[in-house]
Formats: sequence, structure tokens, C-alpha cells
Amino acid sequence: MAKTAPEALLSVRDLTVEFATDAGIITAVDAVSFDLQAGEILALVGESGCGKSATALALLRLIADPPGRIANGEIHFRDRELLSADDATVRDIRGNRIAMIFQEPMTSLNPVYTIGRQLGEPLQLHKNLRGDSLLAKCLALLESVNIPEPRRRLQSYPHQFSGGMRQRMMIAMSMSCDPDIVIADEPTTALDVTIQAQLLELLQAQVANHRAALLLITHNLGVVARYADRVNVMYAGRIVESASADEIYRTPRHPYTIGLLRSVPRLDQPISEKLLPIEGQPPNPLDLPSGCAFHPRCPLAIDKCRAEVPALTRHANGHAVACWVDVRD
Amino acid sequence: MTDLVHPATAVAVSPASRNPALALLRAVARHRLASVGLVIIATLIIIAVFAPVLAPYSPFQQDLYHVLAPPSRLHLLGTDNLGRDLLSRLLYGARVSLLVGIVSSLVSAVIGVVIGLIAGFRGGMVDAIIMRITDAFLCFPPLIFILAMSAALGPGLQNVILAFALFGWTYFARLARGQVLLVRELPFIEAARSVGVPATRIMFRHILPNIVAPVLVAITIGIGGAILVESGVSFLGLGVQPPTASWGKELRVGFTYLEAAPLFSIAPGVMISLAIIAFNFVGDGLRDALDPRLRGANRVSR
Repeated sequence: MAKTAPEALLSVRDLTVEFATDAGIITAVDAVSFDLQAGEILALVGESGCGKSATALALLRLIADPPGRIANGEIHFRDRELLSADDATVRDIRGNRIAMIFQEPMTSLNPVYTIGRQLGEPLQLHKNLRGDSLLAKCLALLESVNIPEPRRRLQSYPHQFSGGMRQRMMIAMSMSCDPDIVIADEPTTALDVTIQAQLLELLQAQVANHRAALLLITHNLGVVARYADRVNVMYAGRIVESASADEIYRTPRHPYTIGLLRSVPRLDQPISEKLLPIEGQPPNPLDLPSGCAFHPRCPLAIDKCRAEVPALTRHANGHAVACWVDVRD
Repeated sequence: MTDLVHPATAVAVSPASRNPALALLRAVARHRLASVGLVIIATLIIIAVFAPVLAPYSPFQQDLYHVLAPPSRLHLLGTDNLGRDLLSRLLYGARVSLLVGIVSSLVSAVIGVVIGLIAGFRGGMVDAIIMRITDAFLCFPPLIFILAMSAALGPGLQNVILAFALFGWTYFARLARGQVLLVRELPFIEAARSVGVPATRIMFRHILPNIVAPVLVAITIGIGGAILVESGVSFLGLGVQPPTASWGKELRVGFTYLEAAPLFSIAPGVMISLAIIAFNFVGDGLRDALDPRLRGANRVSR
């Protein structure tokens, strides 16, 4: 396990999230540890159900309880430990120091309130802005995300906004209190491919302007390559590989990461190169395979993989991987 | 995505109106039966407000020489057993019936919705206890319960309203709780929590406005029900006391003279029916206006 770097803005240690279902307890996030440095863009990558969204929600203690539960772990943000903090402290951090952008811009806004009212809510709660100063700040925010006619748009209801506009408004809202960290949970999945890039550019520019760190949760490796500084790859609730984005692309070391990269088309390789899907299905979270959860689908699996869970081990260049096999051999 | 439209959005979606309340009213007015209901209710309210102006006589003025008189130019609906002008008594009776109907339905709604909100939002033990209490209330037939309460509290208008509210809140609590269970799982509630909105504010500012639609329908239909129950309670001798006029009371007294003066019981009966039908029509119209799936169907039928 990596030692906490002293400058880490957010450091997560052994975070474990469980969900109670009728069939038993699912461990959605299993002893996940990572650091987020000030101002960096960290991507959390993995397929559906690998625990990346649960990780994001747990950071702000937004896991619905019941059925969910943060079973173990520590989340250090600046000088505070969030999992043991009282509700008021956490509320004060939410939307203020750590902001969140959700996957579904269509349903993440309350249909009965105007855009202006919702945009202003964090500012009212955390900055105590009212009246004219609140209006001025909201106008500036909408302008900063390139929404035309901001004054008129503040009076609009969410259904009068397109998906892209809502998500831009959500970006504006997340920036409203100058947060230290923005968590974006698949911010572009629900949108047209044509505006995904636009939005990500905007998000990147906004976090850069506000000097905020970005935790970008995605299943899209293209997004990762283009925007992320570092990447954590998750599989079945665990981080299996962690490295800089360049490293992940040039020298992936976990068989799962290699499989992911082979399964998407790349511009830097000849078109004749075949796309290779990862064989098999993601594991049933109620009945995870023994040892490394990836071993049933892994072409390189050895006996040890079936017996013992590999720990995330740090190598050169800050490249960490949880695998018993050294793929370079 | 689009099939996820919540009832609350439906109001706002109707033709380019900025004001959801106005848009709703317009949608209800377009509904054929509801517009009839709206006209009847408006008329009843005008009657109730302007009863002293509209009534040809005082409702208490007795004319013992013309007892149980048939309709004439002097007394359009005839007179009652004490020679009082029936029309005037019915006009004044509208005040009692509407007051009881509207106030008791509103009081029940306010109490019920707050309790239902808390039950649905908090969940767990709080929810279980509140819901078991409402279950217990459901075991009573409403009329019997309200009669018993009225008897225990004593006669009088406030006590009828109180008795009604004591029963009516359970219905609204169940309704509100069910709606809260739906709304609290919607992403915008999670989004509100993610920006640090406290729980009470989420309950009253973010969830409540989204469950108003079905509650509004229930209040409207509840008013009709309350008018009926008030009439029933008055008919059975509790509720408002003589000489105050109320439709149920008139019906009760008129009933005794059914053969001598049929209009004496028919007229208040018609008033009661009209009022209840009107509120039910408007309730149905509201429901249709608020339900996007039914809106298309209405358009075809027109």
C-alpha cells in the first residue's frame, strides 16, 4: 500500500461499501485506497457494476443507508476524516468543498424549480448569498459555461433545457462555491457523442480555472486518454491498476487493463488490428471468484490467482498493479 | 428518459405557460366535465359569500301561517315546517357545507401530508409506527368514526371539522408517503443532498412540491366527501345545531314531511349532490390534467 503522500488533498484508505440485498450482502467497493492530489484529474475506470459510482458516492457519504453501508475505511480530506465527521460537517463540505456532477442531467434537476433557483442553492447554503449578489453570481456562472441569454435562462425550468445545457448548468453549479474537488460520475454518458467532447473540454477548463481536482468516473477509455492525468482501473470492487494515463496506455500491466485496451479501437494503431473482447462475463457480485476476481476471464491465470487475492503493489514510476503475474515476462 | 416524466413536470410541460398554476387551471377548464364542475363550484361559492344579499328572506324568519307552503312567487322553493323560506335557508346552508367541506379537507391534508412526508422520508421505525396507526384508523368505517367523534366532542361546526380531520389525515398520510417513496429515489434528491441541503429542507422544499399534484386531486375529491359526511352527520342530528341552516339538516327535517312537501327534502338533496358531483368532476379533471398519459386520450375524445 502506498504511503500517504503528504500533499494529497484527498486520501482514501481501505474504503469498503456494502449493499444488503435479498440474496445476501454485496461488497461493491472492497478496501479501495487512493490519493487525489490538488488540481489533478484522476480517472476511475471500469465496467458497469465495478463499484466506481459507489466509490464516488461514498466520498460524500451519499450511499443510501439502507440498503448501503460504508463498512470500513477512512477518507481524509484536508485535516478532516469524513467517515467519522458529524452530519453538519459533511453537509458543509458537500457542494462547497467537494462538488458532484451526476450521470443523468435529465433527472438530476428538480422539475418544479427554475434553473436559477437550483443554481443558487449551494450559494445560498454555503456562501449566504441573497438577492442581487446571488443573481449576479448566478448570471456569471451561466455565462462561464456558455449558456446564451443567461438572464432569461435563469427563469427557465429544467424541461426547457436540452440535455447538454442541463449538464453545463450542472457544471456551473458544481463550480459555484469554488470547490477543491469535483467528482463527475459519468458526466457525458447520457449525452450525444457530438457534445460529449464539448462538455469534457468545458469541464476540464472549468476545473483548471478554479484550480480544483477532478475525479472523473467513466467507462470510456477514450475520455481517459484525453483528459486524465492518472488512472485507477477498477474491477469487481477493487483497484487493480493505478498509473499515469500515459503509462496505462503505453505499458499496461494488469491483464484486465490490457483486455480493456484491446477491446476499443485506437487511432494510433493500424485499422487491420482486430478488436479483442474480454472473454466471459463480469463476476456475480454475490458470488465472487476466489483469489483474484478476474482469474476466470484471465488468459494468464496461474494457480496462485485462484487461491490468493493479489495486493496492489507499487512499481517504478508510481505504477501500481494487483496481479500475481508480471505481464512483461 | 422521456418515459420517466414525473407527474409534477407534466403541469409545466403544458402549453408555453410560465406559471404552472395558471397552466393547470387552463388544463382543467379544457376538461369538459371539470369545467362544468368549476362553474358549479364558483356559483356555490358566490352563493355562500353573498347569501345575505341573494336570499329573499332571513333564514330564521318564521311565518307560521304559511308552513310547508308549496313553491310560489313569494317563496320560490316553498317554506319549511316553521314557515321559513326554503330558498334562503339553502343559500345560507351553502356556507356551512362549503366551510366544513373545504376546511376539514384542508386541515386533514396539511396534517396528513406532513406526517406522510416524515414517514416516507425517514423510513424505518418511524414509518412503521405511523403506518400501523393509519392502518388502525382504516378499520373504522369513516361515517361511524366521525359520528362517534362528533358525539364525543359535542355538537357544533368546529367539532364536525375536528372530527373529520381526525379521521381524514390518515388518508392523506398514506397518499403522501407513497408519493414520497417514489420521489425520494429520484436523482435530483440525491443531487440536492450532494450540494449539502439539510434533510428538512429536502423534505419540504424538494420533495413536497413534487407530490402536490396527487394531493391536490385528493383534496378536491375530499371536499366532496366531507360535504357528504357533514350532511350525514347533520342528518343524524349531530353537527350544526338549529336554527343554523345546513343542507343535511334541511334534508333531515324535510324527510319527515316527504309526502306533504316533497321539495322540502328534494331541494337540499339536489344541492348536496350538485356540490359533491362538482368537486368530483374537478378532481377528475385535475387528475387528467396532471397525468401526461391521460392527456392524449382527452384530446381524442373532444
